[in-house]
Amino acid sequence: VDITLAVELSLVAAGAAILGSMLGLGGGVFLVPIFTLFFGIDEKLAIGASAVAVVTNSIVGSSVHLRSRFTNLRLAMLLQIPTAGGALVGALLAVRAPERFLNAIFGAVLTYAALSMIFRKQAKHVDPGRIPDPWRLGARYLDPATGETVTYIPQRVPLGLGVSGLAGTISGMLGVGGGVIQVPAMNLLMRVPVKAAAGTSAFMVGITAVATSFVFYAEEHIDPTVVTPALIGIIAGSQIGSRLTRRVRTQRLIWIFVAILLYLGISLILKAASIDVPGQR
Amino acid sequence: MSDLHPGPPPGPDAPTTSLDEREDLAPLYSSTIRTLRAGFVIGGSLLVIGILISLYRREDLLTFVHPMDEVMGNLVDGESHAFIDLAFIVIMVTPVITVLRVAVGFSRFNDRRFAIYSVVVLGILAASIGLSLVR
Repeated sequence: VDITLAVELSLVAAGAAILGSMLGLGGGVFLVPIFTLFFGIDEKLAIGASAVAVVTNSIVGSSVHLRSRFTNLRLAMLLQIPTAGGALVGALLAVRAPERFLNAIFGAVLTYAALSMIFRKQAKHVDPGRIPDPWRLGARYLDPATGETVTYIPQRVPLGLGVSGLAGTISGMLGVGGGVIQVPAMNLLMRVPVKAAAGTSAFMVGITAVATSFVFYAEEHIDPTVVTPALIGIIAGSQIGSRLTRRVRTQRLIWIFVAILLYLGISLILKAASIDVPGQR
Repeated sequence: MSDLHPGPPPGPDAPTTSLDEREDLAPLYSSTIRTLRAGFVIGGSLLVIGILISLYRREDLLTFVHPMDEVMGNLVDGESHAFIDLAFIVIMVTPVITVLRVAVGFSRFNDRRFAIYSVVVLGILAASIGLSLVR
């Protein structure tokens, strides 16, 4: 085992986990592009490693979100139905898809997610006493950053279910948890506050990545020399990230998110077009 | 506590309930956290044991995992890679068990609607595991 490579993979995974845990993304959205672009790891091995890492990150990170009540378990279980179904279909497609196609899809998804956050409108806070909650998904949590209790009722649930199905399919194909689509969708479409969206997504991404993990395990796309250092980094990083979430203001998370996603997204699109990315192996 | 009972299907005319009337789901959240933590501790321990054994024996990590039906046999033989393979499997199974706990939790709160949603999720995950085992 190349110890230097193992340490580098661990450090990258730790950084991905810190950001992923803070944003409810699971970290895989950063892991796969970095592993393939800058470490030359085979795309499918990177996706397999990412899927297991996303599950681990969710297991570790979502405990903190659950304790803080950022996670909405009812919303998670409802949205998880189309997400998990989509993930199973996506994973089965991914094991047969060419690498270039996966890079192009991944790059497009990352770029879209970044742009949607740049051009997003601030989700309006809706007084839950005045609007109906027929789906019984309303919840509240104490935001430690502001000291205020935030109460919300998710809106446009059918649309959220549709987007979750799409998120699941894409996440199954790419080995990510789907948070990259689900956090903006919950926030922008369903008017779920960002911290609740991130907490709910952090819980959901682990469940979503299970489908991918098992399919990739069976297809022998799980390489312990990649997965083991990734897990060590993910475990350390998600501990740090989930604690930082409670102290950092939402707006700062979004701009970190946007900058990294844009860079990685454009890099993957360039790679799919056979254009070299600086620093790429 | 009226919200404990499954309500009518969602629709524009469905009655609403104030959040203040909602039940306290704290036990469900606690059991979910405990399940996740147990999965992490067991999976993490197996991973550490596997790494320590391979370091002690100066063995390299393998670049592949063994089929699930061979893992337990290799574990009995004390093979380091079997601990690592099993660690991955435990980690991958933990969310499945968590969803099961959530389903049981909603069921205990007589919240049939969300218990059913959880069981459907469980069914989809079971399908992915089943597909993996037969491949």
